[in-house]
Amino acid sequence: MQRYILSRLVQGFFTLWVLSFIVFISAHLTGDPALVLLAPEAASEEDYAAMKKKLGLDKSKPEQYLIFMKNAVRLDFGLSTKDFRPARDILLERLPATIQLSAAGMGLAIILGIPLGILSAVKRNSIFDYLSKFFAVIGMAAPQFWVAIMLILFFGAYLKVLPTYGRGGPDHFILPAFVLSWSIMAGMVRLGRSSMLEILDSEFVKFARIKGLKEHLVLWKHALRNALIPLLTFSGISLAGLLNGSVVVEVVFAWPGVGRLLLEGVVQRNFPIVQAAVLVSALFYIIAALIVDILYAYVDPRIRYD
Amino acid sequence: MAVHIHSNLIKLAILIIAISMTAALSVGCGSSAPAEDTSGAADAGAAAPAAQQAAPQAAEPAGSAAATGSKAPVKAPAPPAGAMAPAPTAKPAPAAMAPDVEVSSGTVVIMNAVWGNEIFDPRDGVGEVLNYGRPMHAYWTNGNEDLELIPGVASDWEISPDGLTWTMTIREGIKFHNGDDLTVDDAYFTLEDVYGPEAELHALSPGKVVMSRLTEDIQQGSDTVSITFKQAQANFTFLMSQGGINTTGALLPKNYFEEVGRDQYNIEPVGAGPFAVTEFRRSEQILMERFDDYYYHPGNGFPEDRRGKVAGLDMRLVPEAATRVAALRAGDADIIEANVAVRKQVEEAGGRIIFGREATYVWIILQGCQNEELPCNKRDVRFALDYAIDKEAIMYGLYTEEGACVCGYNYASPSTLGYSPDIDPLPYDPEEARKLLARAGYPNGEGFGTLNMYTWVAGDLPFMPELAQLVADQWKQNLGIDAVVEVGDAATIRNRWFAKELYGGVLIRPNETKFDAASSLTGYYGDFEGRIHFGALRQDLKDAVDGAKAEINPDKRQEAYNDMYKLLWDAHYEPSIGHVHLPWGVSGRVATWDPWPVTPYLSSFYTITLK
Repeated sequence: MQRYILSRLVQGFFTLWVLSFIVFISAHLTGDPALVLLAPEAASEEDYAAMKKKLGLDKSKPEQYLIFMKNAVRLDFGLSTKDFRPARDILLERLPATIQLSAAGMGLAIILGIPLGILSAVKRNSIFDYLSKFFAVIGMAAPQFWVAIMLILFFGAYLKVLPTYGRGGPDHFILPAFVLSWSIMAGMVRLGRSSMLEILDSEFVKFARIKGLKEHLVLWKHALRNALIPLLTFSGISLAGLLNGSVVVEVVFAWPGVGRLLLEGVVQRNFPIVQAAVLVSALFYIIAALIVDILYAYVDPRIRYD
Repeated sequence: MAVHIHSNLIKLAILIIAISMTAALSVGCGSSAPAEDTSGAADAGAAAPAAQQAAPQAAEPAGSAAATGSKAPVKAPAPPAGAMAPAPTAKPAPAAMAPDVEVSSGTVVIMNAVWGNEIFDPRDGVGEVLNYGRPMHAYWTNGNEDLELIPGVASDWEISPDGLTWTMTIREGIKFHNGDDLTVDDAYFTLEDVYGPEAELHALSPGKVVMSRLTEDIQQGSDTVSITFKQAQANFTFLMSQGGINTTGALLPKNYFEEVGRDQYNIEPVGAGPFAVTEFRRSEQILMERFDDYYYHPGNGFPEDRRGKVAGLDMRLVPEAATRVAALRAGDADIIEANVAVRKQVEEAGGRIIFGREATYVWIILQGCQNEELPCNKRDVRFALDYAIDKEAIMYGLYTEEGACVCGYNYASPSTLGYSPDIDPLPYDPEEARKLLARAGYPNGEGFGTLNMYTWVAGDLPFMPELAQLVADQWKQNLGIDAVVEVGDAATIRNRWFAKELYGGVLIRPNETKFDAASSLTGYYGDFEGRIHFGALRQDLKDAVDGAKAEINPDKRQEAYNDMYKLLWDAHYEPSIGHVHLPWGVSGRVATWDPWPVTPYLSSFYTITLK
């Protein structure tokens, strides 16, 4: 197992390195931040050259990349071109908001998604099953932006029972967390249902029933535990995705998280912010995937890494 | 096959997730409290004070002479903004007894779409910082709804005959939010910080870098500060005013700034404006409370009371327009950046749309016309393109008659320096347009080639792509020109614009109207070495711009600017279709608010009262 973890870590670092290269190149392909920062009416070619120097853009691209990598290892992503504050500090400022929302969204997805999926399988072809499937299909198909605006209008503007925007008390989490989690919840319902159906049809469940075990023991002790294995993988990767921030939800709900920061960074050609956000996101993915893989080995004895 | 599961591990995983969710919610509960309840503003029932309705006068505070026993104040005629003001000479009484003013206990929730770079110090603030920079800072000079420059921290100012040196007299009796007195030391310190040699090296704002380069010297007297430029800067007092285009004119508290440093200052800023920042959450919320000791009120001899009439401001950054409107409808917001398309929704919620008049103009720029091979090199083509646009149909169709004005010539609107009706847009005359185009050698658009038009989805002015498409359609229909609209993102198109990659095409974008557009015009027409320029590098246009900008006689500035605009209009490198009034959605809770015209961003906070 230790060798496996070590090998995954090496793979993770390699992935990060490749990603850093891609992010660096793609960010620089989007345009010149010095041009964005300068007011056209006030700036001469001299100012342009000075701004490029200030931003370190006067050096060759390979040189810029080496400097970027050298600093990135120390988690120094350079200064934001918006206000010349360290990109790392800005990212750290935004992370708590995203972590809070992600945790709330994930919690909601698990609390609602898993039971819905499992019950849907248990009560296959019932009204409950159809409603669950309908809920899942809408969650997957409806654009997040539209759902968010509709919910804000209905619960915020019309019923006036929930806040329309921003961070605040627990009630501020309800709408954004729901919108953020609905598609994940939908995935959990579908995955949980199919997984449970497969388990319920398996030999060991039939054997348990033949053995005379009570139905609730069959369902909740034997079947459910096995059905949870794919859901665990799905949850881990989904959580990593949520931690990267959801641009749509954070913009619509005026939630000051990493997703909004990334969008602002792209629009403003703020390379350090974009690079920091993408690399930290990648790091989350790699760590989440590693944890899930390790947990997987523990929960499913069929899997051996040695 | 029975699968053995480590059930404890699953329980543990579920437990961890549950704990993390609980922790997140509890952290959330403790942070970022929602705007305080603002529903009980009963005491604001008093109608807008008379001062709000009366036009402020550009005169030294009337009561000051009586209070100090000095000579009677000079009632100077209101100087035009940026002009050499024959400024009043009497000094006001320091911290005179402030008369009572009715203050609502409510907090006004204001939502903006963008906040600039969220920097409070005047050297580095860039972009939409005036939204919060106006209420929190005191400025060297003040503006009013008549676009006059009136005394502020500078009680008096004068310009040397050569136009190079400005001398400002610093008012006594002004306090910063932390209780420190605003002195001539603070004024000198601020000017050094904004325009001194360090600014050229470190300022984030490119405008400050350029101005720093133009600054020759800054001097401090016993109660005056003077600045000498290498070239005449007739619009200096406009740049330093509260009604200006950024926070350049804000005053810094020297001691506090030096004690905490620039970085900390921009986290816990202290100003001397009518509202003090009490809490700042970057990209989220700025809470301000009314500053009781704000200097501008009749007790200090001023003609009106510019202290806040509400207990506080709760400023929120809400990028999505639909969310802002929903918040207003829900009662979660009082003033929002809006557009005329949401008028019905706002009105259904008991609110209304208020316009900041002539705030923006639709800017159509023909690119690279100095190239003789391009059609736009010919004047007839430029006029043909303009005649072929049905401006009223487009502007009033998109922004309503109430929300737009087919008037002025780009930089100049009816309320700005240099306007006269002679420079209003050309009428819609497709027949004349076709005639001119044929005379230029392109009958029915033959040989014209494809005309690429570039625009972007602008946060500050909706419907830009639609507007560009309507113009393209009219050029196609009326002139037979194959006009193609390319909608990109603002940064990319700006990059291509500055890199001169749009030559031969047309850029359509919004731009904020400035009372005195000298600084913009210098770059566009007056600097042939600049990275962008209009006007085909014509010396006569450069001379006109340089001449108008250098005019320091206030009586002659209007005329000089008007002459310059007439020349630009006649050259017509920028067809003009009019100005758009900036719409704000205002909730029914707000009794009064009168934003100044030709003033970008939020203004005139002292006119906000609650029902």
